[in-house]
Amino acid sequence: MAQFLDALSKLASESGIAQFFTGSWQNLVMIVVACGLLWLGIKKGFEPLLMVPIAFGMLLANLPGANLAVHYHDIPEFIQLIKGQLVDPVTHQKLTAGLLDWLYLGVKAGIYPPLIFLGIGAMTDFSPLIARPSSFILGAAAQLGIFGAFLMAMFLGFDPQAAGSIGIIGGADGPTAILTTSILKPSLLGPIAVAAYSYMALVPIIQPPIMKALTTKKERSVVMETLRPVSKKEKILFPIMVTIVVSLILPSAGVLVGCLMLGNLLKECGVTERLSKMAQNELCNIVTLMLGLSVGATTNGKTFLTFDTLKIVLLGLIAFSVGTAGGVLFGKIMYVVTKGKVNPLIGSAGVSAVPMAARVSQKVGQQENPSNFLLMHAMGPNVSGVIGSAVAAGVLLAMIPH
Amino acid sequence: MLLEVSFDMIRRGVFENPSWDWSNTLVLTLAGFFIVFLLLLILIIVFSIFGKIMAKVNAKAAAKQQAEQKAQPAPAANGEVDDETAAVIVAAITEASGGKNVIIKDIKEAGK
Repeated sequence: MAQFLDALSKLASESGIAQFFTGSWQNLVMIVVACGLLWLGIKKGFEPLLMVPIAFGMLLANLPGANLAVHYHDIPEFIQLIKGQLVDPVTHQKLTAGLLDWLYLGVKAGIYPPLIFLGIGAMTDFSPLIARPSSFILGAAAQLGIFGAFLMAMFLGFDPQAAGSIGIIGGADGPTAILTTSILKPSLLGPIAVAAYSYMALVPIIQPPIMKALTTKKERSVVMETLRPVSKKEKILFPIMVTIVVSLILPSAGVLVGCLMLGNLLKECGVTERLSKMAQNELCNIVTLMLGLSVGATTNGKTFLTFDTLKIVLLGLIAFSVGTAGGVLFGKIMYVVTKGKVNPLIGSAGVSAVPMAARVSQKVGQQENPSNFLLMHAMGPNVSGVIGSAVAAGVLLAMIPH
Repeated sequence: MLLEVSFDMIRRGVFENPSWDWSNTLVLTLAGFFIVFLLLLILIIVFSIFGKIMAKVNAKAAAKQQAEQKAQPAPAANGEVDDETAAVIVAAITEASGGKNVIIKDIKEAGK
C-alpha cells in the first residue's frame, strides 16, 4: 500500500499540474493567452489560417513537462540538440529533438516564408499594378511605418537587430516579418509573429479612423477612371521583369520577390496550371500549417512574458498606423498632382495585408459615395505593398549586421 | 554594386562607429526608406515605359486583326456559296465519293 501511495505521489509530483506550482506560472498564463488567440481565430475569424496553428503551437510549447517547445534559436544550437549535447536549463536533463524542433528548422533556414510567397504570387493578380504603375509609389510610401517603428524601437533601447525585426511588423506581411526576424533576432520571433498577425487581422479597425482623419469628404468621394485592360503578354512579362530589376538592384530581396514572381508566372503563363494550383493550395496550406505551429512553439512563457513583448505590441501598432498614414498622405500628393483624379483612400492599401487593406479602402470610399468602386484601384497599391515590404526587408537585412 | 557599396558604408558608418549616436540612427532610417522608395521609383519608370511599348504592340495587333477581318469576304446574305468555298466543298465531296465529278454550279445552287 505504501509503495502504491509512493508511486501515486511521484506521479503527481512529476505531472504538468504540479509543475505549474513549482515555478512555471508563466506557462499557465501562456496557456490562457493561447486559448484567447484560439478564440479570436475560430470565433472572430482573425487571420484563422495562421492564428489557429500559432495559438495551438503556443499551447503545446507551454504544457509543463511535455517538452514540446522549440529548444533552439540558431543552427549551431540545433546541431548540438541533435547530437544530444543540449541540456535543459531548469531540469538539467539532456534534450532531444522533437517534431516541432524539426519543423522549426524550416523557419530558421528561411524556407517557409519564400514558399508562402510562392503561393501568394500564384493567387495574386498584378493587372491593376501593371495598368497603373504609379501605384508603386503608394506601396513604397506605406513602408514608412517600418522605418518609423525602427527609429522608435531604437529610441526605446532595442538593439538594431531587434529594432529591424520590430519595424518589419509595419509591412503587414507575416512571412516577410518571420523571415526577417528569424535572421536578425530569432529570440523575438514569437512576439513579432503574434503581433504581426494580430494587427493584420485588425486592419479594418485600425485603418479607417486614420484614413478619415487625414482626408476631406471631397477627396474621399473621388471616382477614379476605369483601368485599361492588360494583355496576357504583359502579365507574363511583368513577373520576369520585376525579378530581374529587383534582384539586380537589391539581391537580399531576391529570395522573397523571386518566389512571389515565380508563383505569379506559374499562374499567368497558362501552361503550368497544375503547378499553379499546387502552389495556391497544397503547398501554401502545408507550409502555413508548419510555419504557424513551429513559430507558436517558440513562445515559451519564460521568454514571452516580458516587458519587451508589451513594447513590441505597442510598436507594432505604431508601425501599422504610420504605414497607413504614409500611404494616405502620398495618396493626397497624387490627388494634387493628378488634379483630383486619384482617390487618396487607395494609399492606405499600400501596407500590404492583401486583400483586406484594399477592401477597407473600398468600404471607406463607399461610405462617402455608395456608387464608388475603389477595390480594383486599391489592389494596385495593395500588391505593390507586398513587393514594397519584401524590398524593405531586403534593405533591413542588407543594412543591419547579423 | 553601387547599392552594396552604400550598404557597406552605412554598416561601417553606423554600427561600427565608436561614436555612434542618434544622428547615425536617423541617417540609417532615412537611407533605408530612401532606398525602398528609389527601387520602387525605378519600377515605376520601367513599367511606365513597358506599358507604353505594350500599348503600341497591342494597338498594332488589334489593327492587324481588324484588317484581317476586313479582308475576309462577308458571307452571302441569301445563303449562296462563293467560288472558293465551293471549290473546297467539291474537293471534299469528290474525295468522299471516290472521284465522281461534282459541278460547282450544282453546289452553289444547292446552297440556295
